[in-house]
Formats: sequence, C-alpha cells, structure tokens
Amino acid sequence: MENFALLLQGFSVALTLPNLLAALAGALLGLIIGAMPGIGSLAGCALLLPLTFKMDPTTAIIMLAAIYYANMYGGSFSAILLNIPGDSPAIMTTLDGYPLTTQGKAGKALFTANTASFIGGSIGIVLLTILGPLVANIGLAFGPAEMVSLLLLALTSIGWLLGENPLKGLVTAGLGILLSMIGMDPTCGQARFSFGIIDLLGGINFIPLVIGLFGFSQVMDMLANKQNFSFLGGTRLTLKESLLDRTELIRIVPTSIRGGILGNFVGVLPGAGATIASFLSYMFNRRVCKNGGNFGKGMIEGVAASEAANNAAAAGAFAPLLSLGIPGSGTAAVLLGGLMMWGLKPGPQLFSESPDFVWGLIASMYVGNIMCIIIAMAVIPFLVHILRVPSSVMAPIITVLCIVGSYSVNNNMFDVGVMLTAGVIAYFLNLYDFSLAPLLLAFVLTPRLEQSFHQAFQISNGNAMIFLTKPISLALLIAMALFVIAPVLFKLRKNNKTPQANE
Amino acid sequence: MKKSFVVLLVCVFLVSLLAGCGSQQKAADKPKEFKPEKNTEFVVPYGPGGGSDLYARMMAEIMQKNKFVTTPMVVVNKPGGAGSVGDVYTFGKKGDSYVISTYVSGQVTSSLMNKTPVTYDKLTPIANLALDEYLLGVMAGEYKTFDDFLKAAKAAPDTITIGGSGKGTEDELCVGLLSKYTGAKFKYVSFNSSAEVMSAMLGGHVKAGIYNPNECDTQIEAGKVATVGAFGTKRLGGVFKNTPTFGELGFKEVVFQQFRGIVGPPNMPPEVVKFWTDAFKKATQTEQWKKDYLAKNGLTDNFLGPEEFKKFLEGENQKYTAILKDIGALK
Amino acid sequence: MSLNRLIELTCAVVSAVWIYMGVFQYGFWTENTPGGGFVPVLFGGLTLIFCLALLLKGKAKSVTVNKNVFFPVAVVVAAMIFTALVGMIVTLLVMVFAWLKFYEKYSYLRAGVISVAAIAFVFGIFGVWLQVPFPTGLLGI
Repeated sequence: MENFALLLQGFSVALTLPNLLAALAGALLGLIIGAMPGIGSLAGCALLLPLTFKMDPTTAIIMLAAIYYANMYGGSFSAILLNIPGDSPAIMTTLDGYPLTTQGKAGKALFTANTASFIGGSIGIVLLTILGPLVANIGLAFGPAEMVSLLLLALTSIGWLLGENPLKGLVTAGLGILLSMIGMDPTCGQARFSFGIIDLLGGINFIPLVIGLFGFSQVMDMLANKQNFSFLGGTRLTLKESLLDRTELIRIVPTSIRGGILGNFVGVLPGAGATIASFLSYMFNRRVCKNGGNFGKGMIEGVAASEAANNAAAAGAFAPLLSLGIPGSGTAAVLLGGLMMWGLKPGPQLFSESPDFVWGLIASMYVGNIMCIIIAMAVIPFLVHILRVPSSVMAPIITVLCIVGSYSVNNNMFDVGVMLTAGVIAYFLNLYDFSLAPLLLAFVLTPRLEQSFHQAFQISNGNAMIFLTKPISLALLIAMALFVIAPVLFKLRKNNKTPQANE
Repeated sequence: MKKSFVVLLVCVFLVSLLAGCGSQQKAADKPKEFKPEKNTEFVVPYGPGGGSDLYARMMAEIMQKNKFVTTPMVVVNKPGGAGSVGDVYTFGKKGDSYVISTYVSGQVTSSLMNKTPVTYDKLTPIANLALDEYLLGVMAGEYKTFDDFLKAAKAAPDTITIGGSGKGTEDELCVGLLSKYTGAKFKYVSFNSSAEVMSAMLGGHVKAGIYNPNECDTQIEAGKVATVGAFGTKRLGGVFKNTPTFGELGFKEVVFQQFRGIVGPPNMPPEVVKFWTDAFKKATQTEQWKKDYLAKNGLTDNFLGPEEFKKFLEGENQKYTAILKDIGALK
Repeated sequence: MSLNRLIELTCAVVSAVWIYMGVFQYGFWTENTPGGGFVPVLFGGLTLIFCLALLLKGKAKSVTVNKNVFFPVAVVVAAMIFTALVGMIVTLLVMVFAWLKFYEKYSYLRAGVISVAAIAFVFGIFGVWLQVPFPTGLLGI
C-alpha cells in the first residue's frame, strides 16, 4: 500500500509537461532506432546520452528509458515488413511476422506486435512496481549452476522447433553452436577457431549474422522468384482489414500474458536479456498454444509471444538496476552510466534516498508505455505503405540497409562480409529445407551456456554434483526431463515405427 | 599568354619550395606548430557504455567545451577481440594526424594473450592521464579483514573463489598477484562484466570479487559489501578510507593499477603528438575532469608525457608478461 | 553431386575440424575443469553424427538454382571493394542507381530520384543523426 502511495506521487512527477514531452520524444526516437537494422537500444542509448546532459536528471532518465522500451516496439516494424529484425530481440517476431506480411496481413501482424508489446510491457512494469526488490533478489539466486540448467532447458527445447525435418534441424542447430565458438573463449582467454583473422577474435557478430540470414538471403530470393513477392507493390491495405477482431484478440491475449510474465523474469536474471527472453517465450508458447505446431507459418500468436516477452524483459532489466544498482542488460548499464553522470548513485539505497526519482521513473514507464502504443499504432497506416514499393525497387534498398546496418554495429567493414556470407549460406540452406531458427537459437544460447558451465565447474572445483545439489538447478533439470526430453523421445519412437510416413 | 602563365607557375613553385626549405631550417630549433583543421577520430576499442567509452566521451566533451581543440572530436567505437580490433584499426592509420585512440592496460594484456601483431610499441604514445584502482570486495560480515579471508583460503585451498571480469584481464592479474605473494590458492572465476561479478557475489555464488571503486561504493554504503584490501599504492578516500592497501598488510609486491592513456597511430608527426599532449594536459587540469571524472569514479591523477608514457608502457608490459606466465595464462 | 550433399559434407568437415582443434589445441579437460575444447568437441561430435546420418539416410534433392541470385552477391562484393576506394556514401548511391537503371531498366530520371532519396534517407538517419562514421575511402569523400 505504501508503494501505491509512492507511485501516485511518482505520477505527479511523470505527468509534468517537460517529463511528458521527454517521454514522447524518447518514444519517437526509440521507435526509429528500433526499426533501423543494426543499431540497437544499446548503441542508441549510448549515442543519445550526451543529448540529455543538459536536462534535469529525472527528465533525462525518463527520456532514455522511453527510448529503451520504444526500441522493442520499433524492432518489430522492420522484422514484420522487411524480414530484417531491427534489433536482436525481434528475431523471433520475424519468424511469424514476415509470413503474415507475405499473406497480405502485415497490418494485422503490426497491430498484434504492438498490442502484445503493450501487454508485455504493462505486465513488466506492474511486476516491477509491486515486486521489484523481491524479483531482483530471486534473480541473484541464479548463479552459474542455475543458469546452466536453465539454458540447457532452453537449448533442448530446440527439439520443438525442428518440424518436418528433425535431422536437418539438428544439423543447423549444431552449425549454430560451432559458429558461436569462434572468437575469444570467455573462460580460458584464448582465441578459438579464428584462424589468425583479427576481426574474428571477438567472434562472429550476431546482428550482421541475423541481417544476412534474414534480410540478404531474402534479397537473393526476390531476384530469383519475383512471383513470390507479388504482395509487394500491390493494392493498399485498409485500416479495417488490419485491425484485430475479437477472436483474434482472444487468441493473442493469453499468449501475451504468458510471454510477459516469462519475459519479465528472464529480463531480471543477470546477463540474460531481451533476446533470450523472446526466444524462451516463443518456444514456451509454441508448446502450450492450441495451434502451436503452426508457429513459423504466420501465426499472430507467434508474433505476440515474442513481442510481449521482449518488452517485459526490458522492464525487468530495471528491477536489479533500481533495487540493487546492478544493471540487468547492456542497455541498463548505459543508463547506469547516465545516472552516475548526473550525480545519482544507483544502489541498494536508491529507493530510500531518492524516492522522487525512482517512483517518477516507474510512473513514467506507465506513461511512456501508453505513449509508445499510441505513437506505434498511429504510424502503422503509414508504415504499410512501404509494401506498395515494388520488389524491383525494394531489393536494392534492402541491400543498402543490409550493408549500412551491418557496418554500423561496430563500424567495421568486416561485418558486411559476415552479412554477405551469412546471406548466401542461408539462401542455400533454405533451398534445401534446412530451417534457420535452430541455428540462431543455438548461436545465442551456447556461449552463455558454455561460460556458466565453466564457471560452475570452477566454483565447485570440478565437482559435477553442483548441478544436482542446488535446488533451483535440480528443479530445472527435472523440468527439462519431463517437458522436453520425454516428449521428444516419445515422438522419435513413434516415428521409428512408421518410417515411411516421413518425406 | 599560355607560356607566360607556365613561367609564372614555375616561379611560384620555386619560391614556395625555397620558402619551404626556410621554414624547415627554422623547424630544427623550434618544432612546427600543428593545429587540427578537420574532425579528429577518437577511437575507443571497446563498446559503448564501457569504461573506455565513458573516459573518451568525457574527455572529448571537456576538450571541445574549453576550446582546447576547435575542430570536432568524433568518438568512434571499434569493439571486438578485447581491444585488438580497435588497435589494428589505429595501426592501419600510419602517419595520420587525425586519429587518436584510448589505450588502457587491457589492450596490453590482450595483445599478449592473443599474440596479436599490434603490441604497445607499434603505436605512438601520447600521454597517460590517470590510474584506476582495484579493490578486493567481500560480503560484509562474512570476512572482517583480509587476514580472515586469507586464513579461510589457506584452510581450504582452491575453494575460495574470487570473481572478476574477463580472462587474462587486469582482474585476473590482481588475483594472480594475490595467490603468488600470499601463498594461498585462490580460485579465479571469470564473468562478462563487473555487474555480473557483483550479482554472483551478492547471490553467494562466489566468495569475493575484484572491483573498481565506482563498481562497489554504493554497495558499501548500503552495508552489503566490504572491501578488505586495495591494490593501489596508497589508501583511497571516502568509503574506502578504512581499507588498507596490500602493501600495508605486508604484501609489498601486490600492487596493481590500471592505466588510462592515449596513443596515436604509428609514425604520428612529432608536432601532432606535442599538440595532443598539451591539449590533454590542459584538459586534465580542468575542474570538470577532476570532479566529474576522477573523483566520481575513484581514479588517481597521473599525467605522463610521451617519453615517460613510453617507458611506463615498457615496464607495464614486462610486469604483465611475468604475472600472466606465472598464473599459467601465458605459455 | 547435388548441392545438399555438398552442404552436409561441408558441415561434416567443419565439425571434424572443430573436434580436431578442440582436442589438440584447446584441450578437452584441464585439471578439474572443462577446457576450451570441451563444448566444441561435444557438439562437434553430435553435429558430425547428424551430418553422417543425413549423408547416409537422407535423399539427395536436386533444385535448379536460378542464376539471378548471384547478382546481389556480386553487387555487394563490388560495393565492398568500391567502398575502400571512394567511400561508402558514393558507392551505395552509384550501386542503387546502377541497379535500377541497368538491371531493372528504369529511366534515368526515376532511377536517379529513387536512389538519391533512398540514400539521403539512410544517411540522414545513420550518418547525420546517429553519427555512424562511414568509411570515406582513399579519396576521403
């Protein structure tokens, strides 16, 4: 109840004109940065940080926070319309968002993404308000051993994504794991598989890889199969067709709520972040949704699962930042740097020492979230005009975006080469029915898994029992056995009985 | 008409050549003045939001605001390979007067660990600006003093874990020094960032952590964390005033500070080096630098000119090589 | 040999290399803890098994590859080379213009307007607003 009074007081801070304007400006800037491939929320916040130096600290952080979560809204725009995730948390959105676009349902996909983002974001903020410090402390309980079990659970859930060609899916997952091993080994400090190439010391960058896998391989497809892109340059989408009807809303709301809660929790965990949150939510919802098997073919539930989770995770990352002074993501670390420049000391005492600031920020997140959805909904009718551009013009422009987006991640031409190579490989993998989602999932999860695995062994001095003696870790491993491995084994047995049914 | 034009051109050329010789003769006793006429690239070999990024952006702002440099300084992040990608980029700008880069201890250790071609001596030292301090932090109440911590470590070798960010980094060097000179066997566990080290320590997954002052001061104020030893040469102020240095505790060799310097590409003209050294010297004397950067982040002022910085780098390189070999990270 | 056999074979070779380097260069297990080669060897092994299974069991599929797909690849390779010479802005402007004019056979006017507008938009956001330092090439444009 005390929290509630403080929150109301916070609203009186957030609803002042300069702070409202700051949230509005932040939301708008964040949407644009999010929609542009390559530059993500991390670089966006870091670049815009100096702009806020002249502002009052509360106003400044309100604007930066708005940029941060508006990014999650914006990332879905290019994912759905162009098949290029604007930001890595939007990868899972492309899996169903772009197929919807090819079916002429881009408007619906965009509205779904925004509605789900709003629901996920709201859940995240409400949880932050009520349970902030508590959730942050639960996050601390996740040490290396617990992370290993959690990530193993996530990794084995790739099994659900394999679809019609399990063996080929496993090969691409393996390929993703092997590629992610390139670069500096985080626990032994040696460069692996870099073959003497300096640019590979830091590993293959994720964003150029994704831009290549999705965006550039699609350009190649555009030139080869023009007829598949006839949805481009066609008739305009009307607003009426794009709005979600009642049954559709009923389909996405439960998914968004599940995604929101899961995403919020993952966002709180040290070093997990919005990308992993949207992956997990997508996999989880695929499992529990009625038509989960059709995920990846243009299901609005798929879009909702991913978008709800990444927005909730963005809010979740604030919990450890505000209540413990520990940033839960890279972007939160930039915000932390910003806080310190204004003389605020984020730490365990921030809530008691600067209640105005903390509650003003939390209240502004409510305001900012509403602002984001209004702006995002308002631009949808204009955005879908992009689809009226014929594929002959679209192809060179997407190519430009692929090059510029890849380059701007690290200001390095090598990444353009990575993008190109990834695009070519993805094109041929697609051609022969190798699905790419397992590759990406494996690529994101494995380095984190490997590092936690090594840490756990260092901590336990080589004793593997650490995974079983820690209660959370044990529970996760049991869950993995029950939910993931058992059904897969069951399915494999069934498949073995009827081998002719395949292919 | 045409002919006379050519003659005129030749004359102008000859005169300018002569004038050029004249000025060069003068240059022998007094070096040429250099003043940037276009944008200068300020390379940060790490990502946005990190320590070096903050350092560069703060410096660039001070330089511009006080007009020490009148043309823009553009901070460019070139992350990757623990600093080596940025170093290679700067190295590739041979003789360029418009590229400078931040240079910190991590870049020296990373060039040693990865055996990259661009070592410290391949770049042109411009200045060192500050030293960053390191502290050993534990959960408050778990260990009162370093002695308690050391006793626990001696009683159960290889089980007392100390977290730090990165492998083969400054943090691991600190732990390596501790193990070497105290005779206890500490176990180093590497994380991605100091925030993760703090999370792991607060969650009870590691026993201690290596922190920069600004990474643990709020936790100390809140009474959650205590620092039991400092790796610097003298005690720090503020919340750290009761934290003894390891020298005071009787381990004179356990000293480690991270340097934060500036380098240029190879063959940077001497007058350009002089210009930047002077500009940075002026910048380090501003209130903003002392208050908003050094004091706030707990750094120590330590300005070194090009010559001294070069000698300093040689010493540091030897020191790091020795410790890294000692802890088995370098073969 | 059909192309999907080539893909499977390449994956198999990659996993074999990863296993080899994992065992002999990075170490599978050191003292009490997994070495740098642990995960590469483990998953390299699994991937190798999957690849071999595909090679033995899976059917070869023949798909005719449309030659057009190599056009954008060639364009990007050319763009990377030209960026080193004349900088990225000029390169991409010429790239879009030439693509529209000579490949899609648009008129000079339309190709010109579209390319200038697209590049202005992209560089307005990335270059001017977000201050991405684009490579300027040898000529410094």
